Amino acid sequence: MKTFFTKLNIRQSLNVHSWLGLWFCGLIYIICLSGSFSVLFEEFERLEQPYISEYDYFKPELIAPAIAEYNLRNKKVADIIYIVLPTEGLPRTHITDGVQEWFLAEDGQFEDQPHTPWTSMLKELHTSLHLPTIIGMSLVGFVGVIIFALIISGIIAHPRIFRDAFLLRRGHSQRQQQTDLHNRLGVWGIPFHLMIALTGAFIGLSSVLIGIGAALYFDDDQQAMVDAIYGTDPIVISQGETVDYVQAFASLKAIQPNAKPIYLAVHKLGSEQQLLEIAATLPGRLVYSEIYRFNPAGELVDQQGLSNGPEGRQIAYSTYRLHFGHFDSFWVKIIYLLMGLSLTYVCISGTNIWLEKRKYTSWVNHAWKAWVCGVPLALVISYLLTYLELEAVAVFWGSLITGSCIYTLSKTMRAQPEYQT
Amino acid sequence: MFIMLIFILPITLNFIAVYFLYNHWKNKNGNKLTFRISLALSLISLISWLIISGPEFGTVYWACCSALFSWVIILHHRKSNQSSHKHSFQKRKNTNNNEAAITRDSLSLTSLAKRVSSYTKSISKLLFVIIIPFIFSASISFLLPLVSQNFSSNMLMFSLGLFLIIWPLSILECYKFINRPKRLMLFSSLSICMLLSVVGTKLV
Repeated sequence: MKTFFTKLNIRQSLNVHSWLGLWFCGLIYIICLSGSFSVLFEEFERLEQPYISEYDYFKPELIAPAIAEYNLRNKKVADIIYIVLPTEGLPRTHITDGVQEWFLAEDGQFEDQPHTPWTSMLKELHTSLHLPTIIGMSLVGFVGVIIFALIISGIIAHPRIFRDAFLLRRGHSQRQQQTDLHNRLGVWGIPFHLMIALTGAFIGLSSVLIGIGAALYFDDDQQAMVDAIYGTDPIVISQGETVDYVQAFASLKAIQPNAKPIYLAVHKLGSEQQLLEIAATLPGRLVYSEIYRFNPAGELVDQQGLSNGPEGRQIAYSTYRLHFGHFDSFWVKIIYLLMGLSLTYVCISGTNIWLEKRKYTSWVNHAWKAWVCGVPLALVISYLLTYLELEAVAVFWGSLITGSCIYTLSKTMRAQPEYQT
Repeated sequence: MFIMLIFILPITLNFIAVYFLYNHWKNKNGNKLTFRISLALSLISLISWLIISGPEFGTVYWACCSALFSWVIILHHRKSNQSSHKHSFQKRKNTNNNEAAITRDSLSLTSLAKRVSSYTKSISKLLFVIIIPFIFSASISFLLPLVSQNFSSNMLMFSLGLFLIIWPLSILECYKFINRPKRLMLFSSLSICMLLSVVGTKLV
């Protein structure tokens, strides 16, 4: 059979594919599975706090009193205040300065503070594996790099992968069936899996990359590096007058009638540098949002150029929605969930193929089985125990590690007497 | 309702394209016409996705729908073949013996020491395979803006993207080089030279 790569190249690629896969299978599995479920984090948040008011429009007239009430409750004027507006996925409004947070009812009344321990645990598991943020995010980003390497080596290692695009043999060994399913799910999912790996690596490694870039190009000024990619804030000089939110929303509607506001941020309220930003999604665009800046009178100052600026900026700001699957409709989330689970299965079957290939069973087989079954079980247990006000992170890792150890040890110990007899 | 209806066209075209590809494959890659038709339909479905959902959403939908439809067809193919084959599991032989042999081996101190040493070697190999390509790819990608003295958004994103592609590819190459020590020496020395050149350019 004619192939593009030499036999040596194919053999080496297969070796590196299994070597890398085995080193990182546990991490890839937990990140892919938690990522697949994290696609539905808005739905989980609603499930955890079902009694919060839901509506699809928050009147701009209610913004000023809400901010005043917020400052009163905090007993200080926050540097930046965000009001996150209702969207199709999460039809709730909340106000925050990054520390304190409250939901707002349709009439602007303050409701409960967000309390979604399980969803937060799930999101943090996917984004940082519950490690310190920068270390965890970088590790998860690095796993994205490894997934990319695995996809490329997988393509080279299987010269018939496209020729056998629909092959799923019956009546063969379990390993053969696993291999077929691994290859079929893998080959058709290549565009999606590559995209998830690259965007995940970019998001995860962003702090490391920005750090290196800042050191090399901007004398260690990380903000300058961020500004160079995403754009800078304008300098607005005001007399500290009251911000006209109603006029700002009216101006936005006049400039961009199709834009859907998703949040607003008020910087340095009441000072000379006060600035209002309204972030809005644009139809048919993957950019997380375009940010429109207004002066206190509600007149447009400029827009950040996230949707119409340099291509590099547009690509950088499109990675988030592309990775999360949060665009267009709810069905996109379902598609992302299915595709994410397929990547998870590719990871499981890949390791299973190697374990079957060894032709003997050791503690590794039991440990892998315990890990694969343990992660979803631990997620369910941690969800149920949050109703008893138990710490979700502790329950998740506690049940996962304890369960895995008990299962692996008991299975390994049981195997020994059989040999002796 | 109208929006739902408008999506039926690209979805149907997408499905037919994948089905034609499946038919071509089923007939042992014989008929070139079906292959060409499937490619043409695939292109038409991509265009219809782009027209209906825009270039950004359309490309994502096209890639995801093709994958989902192919899996449906594969599962259907598997089911239809199920009746013609006898399901047989090949039980692994000597499973317990080997497992116990490993367990017994692990009890001796010598084998434990051997295993620890092999793990240490393996970990150092892994670190080597990750770090050297990191230096190599970071040097290539981050040198570009320095040399061109262009720190615009486009150039920075280009270098970051380049880094994210070159790093995994050089991890694969580095692993291959590890089996050939002379080439590996060359690769790692090249990486260090590049790092020095980046630092040198920065200092100058």
